[in-house]
Order: sequence, then C-alpha cells, then structure tokens
Amino acid sequence: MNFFSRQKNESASAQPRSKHDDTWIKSSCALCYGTCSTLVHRVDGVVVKIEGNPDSVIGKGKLCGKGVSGIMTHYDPYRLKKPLRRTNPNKGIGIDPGWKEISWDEALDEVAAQLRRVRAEDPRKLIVQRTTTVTAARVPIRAFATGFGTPHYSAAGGGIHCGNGAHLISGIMHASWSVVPDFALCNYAIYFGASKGHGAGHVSCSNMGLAADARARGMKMVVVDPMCNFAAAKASEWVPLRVGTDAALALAMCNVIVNELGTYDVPYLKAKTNGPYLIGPDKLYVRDPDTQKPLVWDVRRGEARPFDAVPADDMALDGEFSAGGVTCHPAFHLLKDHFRKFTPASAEAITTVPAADIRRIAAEFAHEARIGSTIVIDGVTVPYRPVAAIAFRGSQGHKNSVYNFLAIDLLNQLVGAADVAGSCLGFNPASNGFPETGRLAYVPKPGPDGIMVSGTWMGHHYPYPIKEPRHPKQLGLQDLFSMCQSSPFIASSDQEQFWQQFDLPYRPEMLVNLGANALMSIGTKETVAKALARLKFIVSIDLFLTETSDFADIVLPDCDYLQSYDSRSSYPFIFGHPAGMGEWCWSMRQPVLEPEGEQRRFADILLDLADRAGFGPDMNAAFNASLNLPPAYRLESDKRYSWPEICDVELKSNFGPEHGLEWFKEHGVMKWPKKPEEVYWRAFTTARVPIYWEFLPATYAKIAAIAEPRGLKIPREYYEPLADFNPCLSHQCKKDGFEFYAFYYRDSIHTNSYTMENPWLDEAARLDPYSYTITVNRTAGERQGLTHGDAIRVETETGRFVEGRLCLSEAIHPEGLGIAALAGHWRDGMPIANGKGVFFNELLELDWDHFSPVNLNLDLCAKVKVTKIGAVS
Amino acid sequence: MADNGDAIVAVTPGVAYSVGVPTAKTQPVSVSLFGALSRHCRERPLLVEVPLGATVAEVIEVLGRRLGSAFLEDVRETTGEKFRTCRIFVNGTRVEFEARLPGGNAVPKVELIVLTAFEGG
Repeated sequence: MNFFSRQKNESASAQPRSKHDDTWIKSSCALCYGTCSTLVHRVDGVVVKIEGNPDSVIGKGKLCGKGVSGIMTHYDPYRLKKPLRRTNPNKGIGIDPGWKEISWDEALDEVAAQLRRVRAEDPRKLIVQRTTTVTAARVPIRAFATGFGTPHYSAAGGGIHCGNGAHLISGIMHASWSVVPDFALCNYAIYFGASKGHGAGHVSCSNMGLAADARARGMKMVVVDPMCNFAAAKASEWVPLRVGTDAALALAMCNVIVNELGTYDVPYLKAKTNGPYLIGPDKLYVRDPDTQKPLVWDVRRGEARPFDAVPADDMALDGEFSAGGVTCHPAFHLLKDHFRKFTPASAEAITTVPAADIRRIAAEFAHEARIGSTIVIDGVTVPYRPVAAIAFRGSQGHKNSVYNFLAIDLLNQLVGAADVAGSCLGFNPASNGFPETGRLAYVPKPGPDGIMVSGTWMGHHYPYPIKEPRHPKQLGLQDLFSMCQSSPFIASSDQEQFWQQFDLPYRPEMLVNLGANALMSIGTKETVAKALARLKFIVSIDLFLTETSDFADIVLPDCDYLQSYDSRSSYPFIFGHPAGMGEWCWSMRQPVLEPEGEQRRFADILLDLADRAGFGPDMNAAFNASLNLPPAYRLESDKRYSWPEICDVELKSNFGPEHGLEWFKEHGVMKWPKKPEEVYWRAFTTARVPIYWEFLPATYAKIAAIAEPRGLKIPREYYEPLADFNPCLSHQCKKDGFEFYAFYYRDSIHTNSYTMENPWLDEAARLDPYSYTITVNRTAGERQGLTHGDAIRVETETGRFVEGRLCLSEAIHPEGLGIAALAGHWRDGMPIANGKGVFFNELLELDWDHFSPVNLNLDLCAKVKVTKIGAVS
Repeated sequence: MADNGDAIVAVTPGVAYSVGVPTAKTQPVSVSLFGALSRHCRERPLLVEVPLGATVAEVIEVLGRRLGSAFLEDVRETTGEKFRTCRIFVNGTRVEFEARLPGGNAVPKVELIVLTAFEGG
C-alpha cells in the first residue's frame, strides 16, 4: 500500500456519520479570492450543495462554477489528514521525500524548535509565504509573521505576477487596491488586459452580474488584449494588440484626446490633480521658499502662489511662467507636450492597432465622458463621467509595469472619470463606517503637498508617499526598491549575487508555507527549486501534497474553507466587495464540517506554534495592531486565545457587543446602505492625485545613489515623471524563428494551480478547447505548417521549453501565443491535476533583467519559437 | 537632570528611576516592544523616564538613545517620520507621534509593533 492510498482508506473511516441534520449554513466561498457569500446545504453531516447567499452583497446570491464545485475539493480523498515528516534529506524536483506520519506534538515541537532557533539568531531568516487562493489566510498568517518579527511575508507569485503595478497605481490614483467600472452607470468601458466582471478573483460573482446588466443596458465595452477570451468575447469590440505594448496605445489615445480633440476636464485637472503644479527645469515642483508648498500659477493675480492659496479655477494648466527667477510650466503643460510624441501612427507601429482605430476609440471615450455633467443620486449632486479605462494583470505584468498601468489611468484622469458617478472606481476606498459604532471609517486625505495619502482602509497598503529608499536589509530588497510590494528576489536566480552586492548580513533559513505552491506559481521551476533547496527547514501547512511539498521537512494537514472560521472573509474591501452604490456588507466564514482525520485549522496551528516558540504575546500584539482593536477588546498579552475567540472579538469591536461571532453565524452578513458621498468620494475631498509623478526622479536618485556604487545600474528611463513606453526584453528579440510572444492568462475555470485537482473543474477544462492547450493564431500557425491538435514545443531564447497540444484560433493576436495558467502539475499528490495542461511559468526567467526596475514586477512574456513534435492526437 | 526632553535619558530594563532622580518634570513610562522590535530589547516591559507630558515622538527619541540607531531605523523613515506600518498604542489606544502621554499617577503603557507590509495578490 503506498502512502496516498493509506491516507485515503483511513480518512473514510474517520468521517463521522452519526449526526442527522438537514441544514443550510451561511458562510463564504474560498475557491478564489472573490470570497462570494454562500449557503451550504449539509445533510447528515455531508455537504450536498453550495449556493450563493442572496442576502449578501458579496456575490449577490450567485456562485460560479468553481464555487459550486468546492464540494469536490473538500471530499478529495487525497486531502492530507495527518502530519508528515520527510525521511529523505535530499531535496529536489522529483525526489521522493519519504514521508512518514508523525504525531501533532512531534511535528509542532520540531517546528517550534526551529522557530525558536531562527528567532533567537535573526528573525529575518524566516520567510512566511501564503497562497492568494484562501484569503482567510491573511490575518492570522500576517499576525504570525509580524509577531515573529520577520519582514519577509509574501504571496507566492502574487504581487510579482499580478499586482506590483496594479496595486501601486490603483493605490496612488484611486486610494484602492484595484479599479473597476461603475457598472450601474458607466456607458463606455475600455479594458486593458483585465477581466473584471468576466472572470475569477476581484468581486467575482457580483461583478459578473453587474457587468452583464451593464452590457444589457447598453454599456459599450472595448477590450484591449492579445487574446479574445473572457472579457473580450463578451465585449462590443476586441482590440488585439502586441503583447506588452499597452502604454504605447494608451498614451496615443491620451494624445488624441488632449492634442487632437482638446476634450479634457479642465476643472477636474485643476482641482483634483497636480496638473497645475509648477515644474522647474530639474523636473521637480517649484516650491514656496517659506512654506515649501508646491506653487501654482494664479492667473487672476498673475503670480506664483502655494497651491492651497489659490482657487482651483484660477490655476493655470498651460503656459510658461517665472517663479522666483525659475522658468517653469504647469505639470499638465509638460504632460500635454509629452503626449505629442505618441502619435497614432507611431503607436500603430508598436502595438499593431491601426491608427484609425486608436483615434476612433479615443474620440468615443472622450465624447462619452460627458465632461461637465452632473447627476443626482439619492438627493446628492455628483459629477457624472460614464467612462472607465480599466487595467489589471495583463497590462501591468511587464517590465514597463508602472508606466503601462499609469498610462491607462491617465485616460480616466484626463476626462475626470475617477471615483465619480459612472467612472473608473477604486474598490470602495472611502466609508463613513458602521453607523452604530463609527468603526471602519476611512476617507482618503491630502498630504502636505496636497497629494492623496491612502491609508488603512485598504489593509496597510501605503503606496504614497513613497517610502525612503535605504540600503537594503530585506531579502526582497523592498527597502531599496521601495515601490515594490512583493519581490522576486525571494526565489530569483541572481538572489545570492544581489545579497552579496549589498552585503546582506544573513541568509534565509526557514520557510513557513501556507498553501502556496511556489514551485509552480513564480517562474521556471529549476530556479525556484534551487531557492527552496537552500533553506534549512520548510514547514508547509496545506490541503494536498504539492510540487512544493517535495521540499518541505514537515507537512501539516490544514482544514479547508468548509471547515474554517474567518471574521472578515471579504475585508479589507479590496477583492470581494462590489464598488458603486448599494449596500456595505461584512461577511464571514464558519465551519460547515468538522476536521477529518487529524486535520487542524491553520489559524489555530499558527497560534499553537507561536505559543510553543515563545512569541505568543507578540502574535497577540500583532492581532491588536492589525485588527485595530480598541482598548475594550484588545487581546491580553500573555493569554492564549483560539482563532474563533479572536474572530468574536474583532466582530464585536466593529459592530457592537451584540454582534459577535454567534450573531454572524446565524445571520451570515451585516449590511448597511452606502451613501453617494462614500461611493463618489472624489468630489468631496481636497486630495489631488499625481498625473505628473514628480517623486520618481527623486526616488531614482536615492536608489541609484545606493545601488550604482555597488555596480547595479538603475535604468533612468523608468523613473521619469511622465508615463512612457519602454519595451519588454521580448520585444527586442530578433532571432530567426522566434515569431511569437508567449503570455499566460487566468482561466476563469480555474484559480491558481489549486483548483486543477477538482474533478468537476478538470472536466470542464478538458471540454474547453483552450484551458489545457496552447493557443496560436490560426493564420499564423498554418503559415508555419501547424495543424490544430498538433503536439508542439514552445521554446525560449534561453532554451527553456514547454510542450502541449496546439489550439489554432482566430481569437488571438497573430503574434500571440496564449497559455492558461496555472496548469501542468507533475506530482502525484494531486492526481487529478497531474499531467493536465501546460506549465507556462517554465518560460519565465527570474532575474534582474526580467524585473521592472521600479516595482520588481516580473515580465510575464517571452519571445518563443514553435516546433511541431507530433501529429494531431 | 536637565529639564528639556533631549537631555533626559534614564532607562534601565526592568527598573524604574534607576538613573538619576526623577523630578517633577519627568515621568516613568512602561514600554513594550513586540515583533521585530523585540530584538532590540528582550526585556518587556522596559521602564523609561521621559519628560512630563512628553510626546510619543519624544519617547521614541529616548528609546533610540537607549537602544541604538538600529531601533530608530526600524520605526522611522530617514526623514524622521514614523513608518506607516508602525503601530503605537498608549494604554491600548492607537496614537501617532504627536500624541502626548497622559498625566496622572498611573504609569502610561506604551506598546510598539511594526506590521509586515501588505503583499500582492
């Protein structure tokens, strides 16, 4: 009997069958981070159905194919049920760890001993990593990392793939984690490499309903994407572009809007952006010598004055002025001039999008913005700009990550379509709080320069002001590259070179892994494997044995979302809560089923480990701080708490003593109405956003001053204050035969690599012509002699390759090669997933040359050649 | 002991008032450092003397002189502003650098912790 079948048999007898019940339980999904509210039907101790909870705003009563399939993941016989210790000291891809079952006490004592050792030596030697699949993971695992004292906390693959650009710029420009059209009122939306409302993740089911209603109402949707899939297939128009060239297209559209049409929102730019701020020859603000406040040109008085001393209407946006003997121009003037180089013709050469289409779409966007209009909502008059330019992973997942996303958002800023009715909305950045307690209130405010400072509402995401770059002491170098959130240096091929370059005084020794499959989710497996193999000790808390488990020393069996608590399954409101008018809704998660075998809930495992390793009080302090618990509800330093007790405390602190965990277990959600001033907050704040990123040259200077003396050249062209187009490395590949730009997309059927093991979702993916294949444009493929169904090899310049079945399709750019992420499992711990689909990340190099030099986002494309290796199957 | 905040450094782990004689112009504070900050001082709580009615920023300055510049680097930007991920609580209430310690006979309890930064996803 092998290891897997043994666990399987024992689990069957461990499942209690004695209870007789027929109950619907209110909880939350976790098959993606949309966290839609659920109703789970349990009969005699068995979950027989999962539906959306119609009483909740989170999902609005709907559940996608993944959500309803959660039953199959839960009852997967390959779920882990006992703690395991490896017996084989050799670690590597394909090397059998020689798992041996051990008791919880043995496992926890061994892990705690390692934690104690590392914490005593240097807590920075610990890396804590989690998956983005289970959002419930965030609070306890962050408190664990914070309490332990390591800054090295990351989501494997998250950030460097999907968010270092999107979240940075959504934070700076919209005080949010991400952006979405105001579906209920938007009339014209342009998506750049995004699928909001058409795929998984962000506000999944709610946005799907909202997007569908918007399209039925007549909202025009233009999708700019190399592939015509989830969003584009439902769009009014698909605009195929060359991979990674989004900034060139967006800046050309800006040029058309500003310099050809002259259709931009002057009052908005004057009052809500730094467009009027005077810029000197050094590219910095010209400041008042007494107050150091940025100056604007007061057209009424004919002189330069501090920005907060001049009515917005009197500020100049255009022209050349002299302030204190310095020749200067308003930032908008410089931006307007900068746009001129992005002619539609030049953009066509870069993007392949016809110049005529660029002009037409830009004109439609500007026209539909209805600049100057207002609308009355619930008796409150607010600006009405029913257009939105939306971006996400696809567009920002390149070396030019920052500018790609910023250029797209400038479309919104130019026409005033930012956080007003109908426009591009941040995901709920402002709230007056729960009416009965006033808790959870947050409204973005201006900093000393008048620029918006975003805050705690988003969950400790502080993109602006930019942190001061320092000589790096973190493994990820985020203290040097201070605009980076998640860092690839945790696993990169050149990590040691960089650590030596900056004299990092320690090396990572231990990893606490919560459900992440880093070997698949970051980049080429060989590189990640080397990074994992260097660690002395890895403990993995997981549902299955994954590819990453091969490198673990101890594996602990976790409970899944149907067996777990979470007091904030959709909070912070950055992933799971729909934007726009409606209701605020606080949801939670509760166990529907008990643990099977010896499974334990990860949050309680972490609390236990902290206690055994001697930092329980620190973890309690971290909960107090991260949950912002008021004095009456703070955890006592030396007391041991269970995770449900902490959930109860948090809920009562926010919603009053009568609304604790028991109340939420019965009612599922707490709702209260949104107000127009909250949803369309931009009109009600004096905060401005930067259309001219004045802080970039200064940030560059500080980083370069630290890095360049140590031999690391920082490319200046990524740190100019005006958004630009910088090509990817793939754009510079001219080798014969390398004709395609390989990229991946998030399959709406799957979430990360985790759901590949689900039999229902696997079946759906096998029936889908794209999920497990490699998509190439039909004409381009046939030109190369390829036939639909061929077995092909896709190879990069460096010789890395993947193989799979070819899907020829008209629904992809002629130069594109699309692969759905994140398939291609190769280990037997997830046998349904094993061998299915194509592992795209094998094509991604993990080194400095492939990172954004600003936010360290990984360049997610590669120039490839395609070779037929077999006939049609 | 000088009566300005800069000159007052009376700190010994676990022992109040151990350096110099507290005057009417100083007050003891109980400081607990958690998480990454705890590596700067394993004693918890740490009792320090600070100017009467000192601001939290002044308490941090006193701690910096006691625990070294590495401590300050862990709670402040190079510009002197508090890290936005640094949380300070006085008697359980979250405060910023500008807040003043409460008066009265009770020794104020100051807690400091730096949250790990938000990650992507």
